[in-house]
Amino acid sequence: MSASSKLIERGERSERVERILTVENLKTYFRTPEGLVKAVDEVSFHLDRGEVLALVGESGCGKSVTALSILGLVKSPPALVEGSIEFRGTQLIGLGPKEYREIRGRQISMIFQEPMSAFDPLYTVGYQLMEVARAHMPWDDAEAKARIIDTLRAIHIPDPEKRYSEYPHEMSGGMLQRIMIAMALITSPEIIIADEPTTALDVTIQAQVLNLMQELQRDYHGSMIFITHDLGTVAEVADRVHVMYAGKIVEKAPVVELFEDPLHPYTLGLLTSRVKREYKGESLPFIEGNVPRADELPEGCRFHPRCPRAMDKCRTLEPPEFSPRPNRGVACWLWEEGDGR
Amino acid sequence: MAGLAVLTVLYLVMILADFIAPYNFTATHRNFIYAPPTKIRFFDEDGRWRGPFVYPLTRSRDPVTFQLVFTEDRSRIVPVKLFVPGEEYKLMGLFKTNLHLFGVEESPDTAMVLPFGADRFGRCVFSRVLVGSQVSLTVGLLGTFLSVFIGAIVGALSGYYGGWVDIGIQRFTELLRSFPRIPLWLALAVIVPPSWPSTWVYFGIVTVLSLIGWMGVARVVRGMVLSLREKEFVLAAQVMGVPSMKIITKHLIPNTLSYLIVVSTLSIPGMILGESTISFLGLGIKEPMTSWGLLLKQAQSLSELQSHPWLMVPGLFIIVAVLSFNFVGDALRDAVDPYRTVEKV
Amino acid sequence: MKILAVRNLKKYFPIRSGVFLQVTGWVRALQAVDLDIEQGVTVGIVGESGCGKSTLGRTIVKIYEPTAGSITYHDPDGHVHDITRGLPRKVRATFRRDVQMVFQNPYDSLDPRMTIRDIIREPIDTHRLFADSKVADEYVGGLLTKVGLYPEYARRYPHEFSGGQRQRIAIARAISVKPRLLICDEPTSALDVSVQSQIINLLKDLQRETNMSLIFISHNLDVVYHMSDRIIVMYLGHVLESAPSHALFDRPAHPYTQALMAAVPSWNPRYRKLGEVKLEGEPPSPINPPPGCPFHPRCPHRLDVCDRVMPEAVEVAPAHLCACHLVADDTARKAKA
Repeated sequence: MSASSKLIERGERSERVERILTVENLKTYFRTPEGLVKAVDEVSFHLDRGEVLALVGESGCGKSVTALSILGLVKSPPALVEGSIEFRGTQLIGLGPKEYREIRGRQISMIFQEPMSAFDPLYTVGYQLMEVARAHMPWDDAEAKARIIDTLRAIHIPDPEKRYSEYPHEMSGGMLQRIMIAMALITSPEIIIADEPTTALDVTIQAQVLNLMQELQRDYHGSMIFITHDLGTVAEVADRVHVMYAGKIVEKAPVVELFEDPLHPYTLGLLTSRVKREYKGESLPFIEGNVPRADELPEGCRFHPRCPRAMDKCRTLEPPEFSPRPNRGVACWLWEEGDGR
Repeated sequence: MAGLAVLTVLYLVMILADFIAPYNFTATHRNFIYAPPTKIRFFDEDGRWRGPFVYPLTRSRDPVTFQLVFTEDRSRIVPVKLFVPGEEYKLMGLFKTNLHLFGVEESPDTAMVLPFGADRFGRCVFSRVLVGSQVSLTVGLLGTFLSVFIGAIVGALSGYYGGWVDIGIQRFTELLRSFPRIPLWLALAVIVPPSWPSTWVYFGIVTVLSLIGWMGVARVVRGMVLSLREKEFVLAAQVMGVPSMKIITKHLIPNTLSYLIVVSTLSIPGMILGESTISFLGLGIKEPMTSWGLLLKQAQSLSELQSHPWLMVPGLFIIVAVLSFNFVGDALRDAVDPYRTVEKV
Repeated sequence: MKILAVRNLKKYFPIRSGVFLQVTGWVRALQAVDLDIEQGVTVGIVGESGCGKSTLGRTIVKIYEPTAGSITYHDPDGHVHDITRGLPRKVRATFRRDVQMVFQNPYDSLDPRMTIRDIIREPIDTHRLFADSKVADEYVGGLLTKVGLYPEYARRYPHEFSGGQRQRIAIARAISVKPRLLICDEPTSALDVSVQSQIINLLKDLQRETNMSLIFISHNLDVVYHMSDRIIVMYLGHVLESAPSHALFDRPAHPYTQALMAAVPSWNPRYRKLGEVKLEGEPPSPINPPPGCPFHPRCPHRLDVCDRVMPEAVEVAPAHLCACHLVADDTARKAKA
């Protein structure tokens, strides 16, 4: 117990916060016919109880693979997963399949991007929710069903008894996404990993689902890793943000500071290349170039070919993570001396 | 890989069949009726190295069993030489020559080199198998090409236009498919008039075989086209004003190519077996042309097989060819498979 | 100068089931849409999934045949053609050159078996723009440069390029025949954020250069605002509101438009606004749309009449139309005052 509770400075106040997840130097590599793909390359971060951590990045940055690695869903071998993932005192890397099954789906749950394909079309949603309950919880069937229906009601699904017996194709995307949230909640997990949960949804439905997730997070004081490429949703839900690019974390910050005071040029680029009303009639700012292919990563800092402030050093040496301000991290040579201006 | 090697050998041999065969495949040899395969030896009775040779055979009748018996005359060495002049033939049907890859320089009245023995008329089985390969192997290629060609076009039209065109074609193919395959083959084969010269019969058989094969291809191509035609590059072509036939030939069918290649290699064995079946039953290739199926026709009764088992060799060749095509087809299918697995780190 | 006039356009897709594939229902994808396209003007079509915006684009370009209504095409010489039923032969070639489309999925809109050169040459050759093949190839090189790629890329295949680059190729292909109207169906939705702006800038530059008209379809309000002069808001096949872009954003009249804008994240963590979104429920299925106003089941300002009568479009300000009973009442009241 005491090993996983640490006294942490949180802004101006010190509170006793429980550190639930510590990831250190996580490496997930895939061997492909085209070469070695370093999908996640020495990533380190932590998650405390009750907070929402956002992993932000574009396609190929490694955010989804990070989630899969935490859940032990990357088959290794043939892939290579190294480093340390500590969950409440247990080291997950190298954990046996039986032990992992106690954790996966029970203490760490996942919500996926495409609700339509996350459910088996041949079974009712009720059946699939029961599957989860039966696999992890000590309840008998009657109690499980009652609890499931309660959970459905708690997430504002109208007519939960009826929904229980419906098939996935009878429901809309937004409704299914809420059922998926219910599925993740049944076991009262410590951590919910949400991988692009609203990307496939319309913007009005997205607002509803995000509101729901925030409400649940407040009520149950759970911890969440929220994976997305959309900085807009990050602003609405996250407490802390980690920006990923080509397999590495390039910036870490509390959410307000990330948006108001971005340190890494990539973060700045993402924030400014957003389409804002003020730009009407003008050219939009953008980031030059393209996201590099996973088997063609640049030397040195992976962002340097697209970086407007690239220096000579950036082309050859990979920057470590510097901490120019408290609670901030940035992997960029501009911040080596503490002030990148 | 092995499959590919075997097939290459088979087809090369097929092209040069007349040359490789020591004898003309229609030439009869009275003294060697039902002769067993001649052993090619290298050391004579005293253990001396003499190069490849055979002993001449004399035929006699066993006084007790009345069976024909061939005895080797060990007194004489008949060398087997390369590039021997022998019976005349037309190489690849083009120019006359009498040069054979290997053979003996004696007349076939006294000595023959018969790697697979001889048949009822004293014809060299080895030579006949080689020439028979010309029909068996090409029938497969031509028939498959025809049926895939027809099937792809019909399937594409069916899938692209949909509506009544599709419904009509589909019901028609279903009707045809509900007939049992072999009887249908036989029925169609009978239609080929026996009075036709054998080359015409050959093409008739090819047509018969391919007429049945196209339907499976058409169905799968139709399915592929149904999903392809909703793809945005097809819509883009429509918006650009590309005419429908061009869309089918330039966009849709080329994108089914990987399937077509695989299905071709896998249906060639079926064609080979089909031709063998028809000819075995007497409704296919006719003399003087020969094929493996026709050759097997002479190895039907059990007593024949007991006394002259070497007549079954064509069957072995059919098996080898069919297996090789299957291996190559499987390998091709794996090669075009987009879901390649990740290797070990 | 007018290019297209669309009146009362309806598109229903039949649903067939049963052994004999009888029609058991209809997907009412488009219901009575009016639209005018003038030279040089960009019209934005915005809405969520199922609203019919893609169907509208595809019906206008005659991938789908309209179920009812009319489409009138004004060709470059000024002749007027009714292209509602099929494409009459004499206008087909002109129309298919004059109106082009860029699609959403850059991974599907280029034939994977063709080189870039062949892909861009396809419309050029179909319309026989050049007699000399070498000249045509130089033109292709020029187009690639114009969209920000290297002419050498013409020899490569689509799978060698990223999503953003493929979209550029698709744009090069579309503008190769110098269309007066380019329909863009969600051209940036499948792209990374950092690349979206590049494509938007490219489209804007091309439009400025050639004065072509654009129909820009998207679910992203901010992008539509940036690109368009005029915006129409669609819901379940109906046009609920249409206005000049700044008018729509400054004074959205329809409750749905207002809800849509409220639901867009603010990108400001100090001001989390999504909690204020009161919109419940989901868009109903276009197979069984509710009677009256399609939005009424979710509308916070629902009146009695809304579930019986489909509201007519009313002009709430110059060139600003809105189809809503509440707004109609308000406008009438203000007019009297």
